[in-house]
Amino acid sequence: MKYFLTSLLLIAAFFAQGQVQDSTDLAELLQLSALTDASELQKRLNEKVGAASKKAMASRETPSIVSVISAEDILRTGARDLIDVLRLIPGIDFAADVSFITGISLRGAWAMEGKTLILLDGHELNELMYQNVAFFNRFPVDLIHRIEIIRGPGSAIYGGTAEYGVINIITKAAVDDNSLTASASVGMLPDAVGRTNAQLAFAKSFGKNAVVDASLFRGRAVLSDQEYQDLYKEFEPVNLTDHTQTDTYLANVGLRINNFQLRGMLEDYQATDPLLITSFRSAFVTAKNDFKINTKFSLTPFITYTRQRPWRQDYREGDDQYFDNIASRIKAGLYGSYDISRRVNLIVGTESLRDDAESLIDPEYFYGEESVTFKMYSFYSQALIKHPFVNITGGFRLDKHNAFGAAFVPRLALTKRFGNFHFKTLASASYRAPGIDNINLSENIKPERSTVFELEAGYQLTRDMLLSMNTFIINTRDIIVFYNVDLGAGDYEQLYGNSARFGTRGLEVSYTFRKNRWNFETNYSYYQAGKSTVDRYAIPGNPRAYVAFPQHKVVAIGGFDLTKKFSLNMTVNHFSERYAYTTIDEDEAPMMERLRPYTLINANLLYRDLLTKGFSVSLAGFDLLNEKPVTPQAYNGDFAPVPGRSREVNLKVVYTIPLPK
Amino acid sequence: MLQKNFLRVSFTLLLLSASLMGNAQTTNYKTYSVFLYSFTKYIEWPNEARNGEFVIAVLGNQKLLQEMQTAVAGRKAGAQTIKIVESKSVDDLDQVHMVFISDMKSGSTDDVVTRLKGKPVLVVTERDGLVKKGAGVSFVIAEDNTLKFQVNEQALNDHRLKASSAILSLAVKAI
Repeated sequence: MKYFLTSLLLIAAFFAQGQVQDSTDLAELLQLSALTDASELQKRLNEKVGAASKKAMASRETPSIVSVISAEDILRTGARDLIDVLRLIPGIDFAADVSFITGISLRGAWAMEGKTLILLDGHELNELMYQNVAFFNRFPVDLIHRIEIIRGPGSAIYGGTAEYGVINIITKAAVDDNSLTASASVGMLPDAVGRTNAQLAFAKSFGKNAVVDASLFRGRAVLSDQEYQDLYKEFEPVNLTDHTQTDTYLANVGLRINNFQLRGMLEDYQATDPLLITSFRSAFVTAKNDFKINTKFSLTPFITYTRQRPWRQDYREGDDQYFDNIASRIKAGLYGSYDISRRVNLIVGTESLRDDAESLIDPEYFYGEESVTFKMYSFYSQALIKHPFVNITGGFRLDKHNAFGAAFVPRLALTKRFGNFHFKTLASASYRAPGIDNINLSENIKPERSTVFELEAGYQLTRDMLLSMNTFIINTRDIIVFYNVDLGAGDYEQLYGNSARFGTRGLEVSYTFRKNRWNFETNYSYYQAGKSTVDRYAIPGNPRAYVAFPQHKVVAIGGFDLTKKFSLNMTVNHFSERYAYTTIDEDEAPMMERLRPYTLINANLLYRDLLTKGFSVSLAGFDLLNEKPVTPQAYNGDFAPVPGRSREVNLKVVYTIPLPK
Repeated sequence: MLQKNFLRVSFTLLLLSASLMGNAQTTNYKTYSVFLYSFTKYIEWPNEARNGEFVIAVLGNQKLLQEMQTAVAGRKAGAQTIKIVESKSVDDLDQVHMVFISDMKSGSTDDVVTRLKGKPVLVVTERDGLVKKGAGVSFVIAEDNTLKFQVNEQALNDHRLKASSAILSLAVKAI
């Protein structure tokens, strides 16, 4: 808008004057915009997305199927945690892993284990043993500046943790220069406190080019307030209010001086089920510097260190531990970006990493030893050619691991926007690198490999409306699966191995209507199971779907500013039928059951600038129909579905102010 | 068979979505017209071209043509009155002072440059980089969506046009 108004004034002044006297006038003309005024929607569409390639491009031309969520979106919906936010994105759903840990699914596939890379201010959050990320009440949702979601593969850029998707979370403190954000929220279930979260972030500049930032998050929530009966009925039913408490501590600090960045993070996430206490503790440090050699060429060296204690499991009663390991990774790399011309960019990079793991329980856990070390070397390259008729992105990544061997993942993307119309044609290879314990608990495990084809077309119907649709086909070979080997006498050996095939295909349609005072978005996503050899994901008699995940999902998001400060916002999520293992038969074999479709309706009343500028209050109701949808386990894994939460009323206050420079 | 049907339905829906009509953020031709007008002030034509009307031809862009006819036609380039004409092909380019080649007609640049060789005509292209093909000026849209331009000084000299130091200093380099 600023450029456009400036342009209008300059154009009017220019023609009124009718005479140009000196070079100053021409210099002023260089401030004129080549494009017409951008609507609210167009401003969004013009924003650059960096996660899909190392060269940021506008969302309609970036070489991936992307969704972008802003802080304003989060504020409007009154989201309690990241699950509320991500459920609004086409193709994303959630299911349960062991011990009630909540994980993500993408396009009908269980994607928690090494298939989705989660980045928080550049830190790779996936734990090192299995590459999992637990989601429930884990992320400081009110401190988020922006989320870039790549709903397709990212291995050609990021390697073996981004086989199906990438979620890049950027916090406010990490991008602001001088700001303070504080928030507190409390969620009430009918008979219990559902959650209490407190979040604080600030960024402060010093001198001309130095910025220090810090974010803190303390969260506590219960996963469910309903009664749970375990699958094999070994225990009496229990009310989960007292047995599924989640505690989160997060501290995230950063320093930016010119092009140098240093960032550290400490996290302690703990969740409980009726039997075990499961915790994930992590420390991350990253340092990097962008050396601008000249206007065309930059070099970026970086080093990251990660130390984790993932999946520590202690029995709730007694001092016995079930599982406890320390894992660490040190990774260093260098990449260069060279603008060969205005239309051609080349990126070349290399990385080297070392993983170490140590068992704190079993001195012979890793091949008869207490600890194990793995190493990997990587080389990657990407070329971007902006031809007037098509943008061509081609690239590859080669990872060479000392245990599982080599993985080579090329990709080719053709994208372009012509006025209102845009298209993307994407062909990608991707892979999942086995985690430390995937390798340890296996015999000669191979990396899981996928080939993904995606096609997107979109049309901007008016200045305020966009219709977009994409289709995808994902074929995965050598999928890494977990299985038990019966040793007899009630003993089992847990192993990981490769199963021949897995896949999904489907389509996603999005419609967006965004005005200054109101907005409406809706999306539909559909998947269909491909050829699969994984029995644990299969639904007997229904080859078109996988366990736990609905084939159809419809989302509607609406917001209306009743006054300048007061708005009503609603979200509706409808999910089609699901299938889950809910009980056992007379032979004590798990039995599958069809779960009825369900609809989550949430509403949020938001009042901005209450009493003082930057202070907002949200009063939200979640699951207004009180559907209480269960969260099934994503595979046949001996856990009954986790009962759903009741209707929750959530009160949230957020205070954001700029700090003096 | 299932996969074929799936792909067929998907492509049909994609084509349907693409067939709908609407308005998008688009090129601001007011800005282009201001620049084209300003070039008449910063570039000097030889004496032989300073008689009669100052004719600016637009090749292949109706929107710019309309904008130029509204905002620029009738104004003065020195002592000459500016006339805006539509050029439907390269053959229409006799007796013009400036020709604007739209993005869609960029393929005609070689023909235009060849046909106008040695004549006092400024060739301006909407697509960037065509100064390398002999155009005098090529527009460039910068990362921040502002409009910039590239200049081929040798091409201007070949057409006996003299650019001011201001226009040369403000041009962005063609890479």
